[in-house]
Amino acid sequence: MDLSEIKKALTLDELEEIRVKLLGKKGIITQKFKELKNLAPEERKRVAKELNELKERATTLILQKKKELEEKLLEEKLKLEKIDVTLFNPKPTGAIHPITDTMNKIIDFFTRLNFSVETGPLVEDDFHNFEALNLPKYHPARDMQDTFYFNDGNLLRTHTSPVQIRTMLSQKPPIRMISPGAVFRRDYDLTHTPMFHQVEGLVVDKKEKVSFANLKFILESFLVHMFGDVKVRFRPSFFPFTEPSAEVDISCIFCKGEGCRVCSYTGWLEVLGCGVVDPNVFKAVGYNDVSGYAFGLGVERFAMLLNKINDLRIMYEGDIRLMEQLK
Amino acid sequence: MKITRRWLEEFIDLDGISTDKIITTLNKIGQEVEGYEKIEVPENVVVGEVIECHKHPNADKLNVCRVNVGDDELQIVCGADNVAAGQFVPVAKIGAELGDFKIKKAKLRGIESFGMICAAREIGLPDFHDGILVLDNSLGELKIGEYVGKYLNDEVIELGVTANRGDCFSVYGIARELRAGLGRKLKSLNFEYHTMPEGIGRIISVKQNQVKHSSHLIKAINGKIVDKLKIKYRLALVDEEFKDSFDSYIKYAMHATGVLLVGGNISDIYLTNKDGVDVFGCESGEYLVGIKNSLEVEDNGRYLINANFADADYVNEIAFIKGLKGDEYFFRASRGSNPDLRFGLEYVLNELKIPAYSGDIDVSTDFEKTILSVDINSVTNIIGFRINEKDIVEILKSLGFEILSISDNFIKVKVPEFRNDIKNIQDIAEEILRIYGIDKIPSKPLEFVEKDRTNEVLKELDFERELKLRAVANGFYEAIHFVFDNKERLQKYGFEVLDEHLDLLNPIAKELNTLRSTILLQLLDDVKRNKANGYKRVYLFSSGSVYDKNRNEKKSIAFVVNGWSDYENPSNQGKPKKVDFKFLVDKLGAIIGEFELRENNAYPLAHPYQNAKIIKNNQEIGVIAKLHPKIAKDFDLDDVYFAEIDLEKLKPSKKEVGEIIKFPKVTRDLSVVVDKGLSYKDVYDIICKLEIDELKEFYPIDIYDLGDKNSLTIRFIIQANKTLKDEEINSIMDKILKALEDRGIKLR
Repeated sequence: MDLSEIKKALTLDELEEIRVKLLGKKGIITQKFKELKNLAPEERKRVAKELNELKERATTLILQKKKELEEKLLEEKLKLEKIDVTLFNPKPTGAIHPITDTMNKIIDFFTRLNFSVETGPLVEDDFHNFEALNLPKYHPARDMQDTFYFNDGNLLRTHTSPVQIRTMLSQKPPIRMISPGAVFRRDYDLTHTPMFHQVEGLVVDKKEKVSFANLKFILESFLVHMFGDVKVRFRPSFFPFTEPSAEVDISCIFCKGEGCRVCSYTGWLEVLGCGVVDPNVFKAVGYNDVSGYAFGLGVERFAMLLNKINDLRIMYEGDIRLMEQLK
Repeated sequence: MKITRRWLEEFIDLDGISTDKIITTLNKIGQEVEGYEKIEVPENVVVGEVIECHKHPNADKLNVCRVNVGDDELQIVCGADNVAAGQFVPVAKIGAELGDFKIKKAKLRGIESFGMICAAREIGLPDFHDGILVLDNSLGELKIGEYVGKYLNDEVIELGVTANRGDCFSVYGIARELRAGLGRKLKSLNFEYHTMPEGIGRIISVKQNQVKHSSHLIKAINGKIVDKLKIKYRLALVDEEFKDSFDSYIKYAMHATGVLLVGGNISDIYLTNKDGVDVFGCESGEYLVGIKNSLEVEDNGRYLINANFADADYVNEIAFIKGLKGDEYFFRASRGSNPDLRFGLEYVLNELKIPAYSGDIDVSTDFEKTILSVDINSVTNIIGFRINEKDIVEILKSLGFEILSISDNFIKVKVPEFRNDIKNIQDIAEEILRIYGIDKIPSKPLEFVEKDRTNEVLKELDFERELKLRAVANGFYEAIHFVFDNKERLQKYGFEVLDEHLDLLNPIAKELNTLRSTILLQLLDDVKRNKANGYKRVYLFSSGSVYDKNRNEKKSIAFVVNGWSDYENPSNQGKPKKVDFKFLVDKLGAIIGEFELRENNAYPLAHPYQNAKIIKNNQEIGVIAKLHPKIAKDFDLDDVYFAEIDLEKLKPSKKEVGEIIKFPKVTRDLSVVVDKGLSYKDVYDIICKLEIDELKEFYPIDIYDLGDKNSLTIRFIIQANKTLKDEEINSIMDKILKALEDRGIKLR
């Protein structure tokens, strides 16, 4: 018997018609089963076997074909649902400010090395901001022009260092802290804003324990963490609150130390100030027989270098043109 | 502070050492080089002698000169009015290139010119004189025809001398540093000047002699001052100003030696202490020692020069106490000037070459000498590395320390008098470290005892960081602002301002004349700016300190939205909906978590009828509102919605997960008719009061106008620890409906 019709069916309806024609109540095969009773027993057995085989083959073929046609139907349906996926590229939405982002990276490095984070008020007094940091009232390094004062004699902190003093006064050594935050200087031009951000670090431990070599270790590790594969250079310098003091440079990340406009053709970028804590600072907070190091850095400087931003003021204008690049 | 290489070489032997090496060394030992400039006269500019000079026949302002340039005699037309026969001048010969200008044979008003007589600025030098540059022998014996650069080429190094190193504010001071840094010897200088037999005591009488904090060494001279090219040229290279010829010598010697020098005319003098301040005075004025010089000097050929020194601590303290504003003398003295008075005085006499009266007036005060005992173990502990005794001794010697004794790890030293900054062992450790070289010190990790250092500050920082990340994920950009704002503007918009006695004394600009009490105005500035830059969707947030009238600091976070609620895309046919109240509420909910809104009365900036208090954990934490259209107009903006929240009240709430109820939730809607003046909060409160345990949640889903009343549809979510039967659900709904009806709210 010819079952090739099944394979030719184009739709599920056609297939159903064929199924009814073959296997329905009045179908050809069903009919043939009914006729079996008219055959001689021997003959009946043989034909019955053949019919059973035929029925099974037809059923299998129909099922196969059904599955095939259903797949085809689904494919056609899905094809109609096709969209142009290339239309849906997302637009930039939101970004953390580069200063915050940089500050977070700095904080993370030090907290992972078991530093605590401390903060203090922006409005400070003379003692915490100057006097206790070995900057007596008439010290030449204390440039009056640089400081914002209030009518009641208080001032806006000129660095995050007063937090060192506050922490030393409220806690006991060993101290391992950083202090991030806003600081203020009376300066407003291309490279200065009256407010900017610093992160300060201080480590105090027993006498003769903390050395300049320790400071060198942590800052080298830190700068490589922040800037990748850079050379680090320490230059002796002066800060009233540390002795010995140093400024720290990294090899220029733009020209790899070859010399370019950004590094003023020196091959180096100044990024940090640091030193061994001056004994007068410990004296001011009543600490005896201790040793320590301190360091401080400008977050804007880091943010500008890490993001290749060359205008400081744009960072304070909520400028989406700047921030959408950080999406 | 600037120095020049050739000037430096007067004091130290730098043969065979490149300027690069000098710069590297200075940086390495803590004298930061901030600038470098090579001064180079162009080629083919040679020394010429003006043999003849007469007026140009056809031009009043031109001269025709005959100039001997060694291998030739040139006719040159020169426009300068100071040109004269007998002068030695720089001549740019034909072919010389002065910047972009190439010297060629020229004809000026009919007369041929074969070169140019130059001014300093024309040959790449500082502009420090009028007319043409007249050369003299002060920078080396002039040879006609010689390249002018041989006399004038130099290299200028600019140093950022730190405030503690007054001894380095001079060429000699830097030479001294290089002695230690390069291991080179200082040159021994021979000062020569003519001394007259007449003694100084015969012409100057000292009236008083009572200075307490300063030393003075005074000489008198008699003769005519002759200008010297070297002096004026070098002062120009290092940006030092002077009043007249005599002053140029004084400033030159001060810059060279670091010794404070003041000049005067020969007259009776007095040295006294007025009200605590040391004063040197004569006929023509007074000098407050180490603070301010107001002596006038007349050009009469009879001069006195006072080399002086005052203790830096005294100078700083007295100037501060008396409120005296100092000049350049104060700058030097307050940081520590050179106490070697004879050196400074003889240096200037040697340059002046004017006969001096014999003897001098010497008024000395004894200053304390610092003797320190250097414990090598302490130095090792400070540096974290052991430098051997021999090296330490060598370093200290090269810095001018006198070694008094050495024994068992202790070196007793006398600190040089010019180093007023060295007072203790850490100062000495710094000297040893910087000369030995920081790069030779191996880095060493610190060993410490571990400790839990996660404090409240860190938790708050982490919370703030999380908030910011959520804001960003909700499409906001972070802005950072100064904590300053304009007081008048804050007042105009009804914000709190600092009490006058707590306000800024010296603001940097009028726009930044006080501390802000809100972040919102700055955010509105930003919205305006971004809108002007073409942004149609501006969502910003900012956090930071704000201040009340008593200057109490508080941390605040503020949000603003303006423009479209989505970006333009095919789904909205390029016309996204504008942001509205609900838009900001939803964003805020996604950022700070669940909160409740209550009607707000007046709030600065707010639209009077779209203005709400934000309530979280039963306390008011901030405000959310539409910007008042009148104010929006001030900022050239249309619809803006804002929120400002007290960060300190937005502490992270403890979240706990309870057991999950596995029985099905049932939803029922109820539509009621409410008065128009009624707020949803009133309905909410009525239902809440019922305290129905099974009522998990309910919220408004529709509101519409029925004319004189509104229809409000509320959805109720009911769930219990069992499957609720219909009767049970109905009884809950009946209870709610009854409570509403008791308050006159009927089913629609």
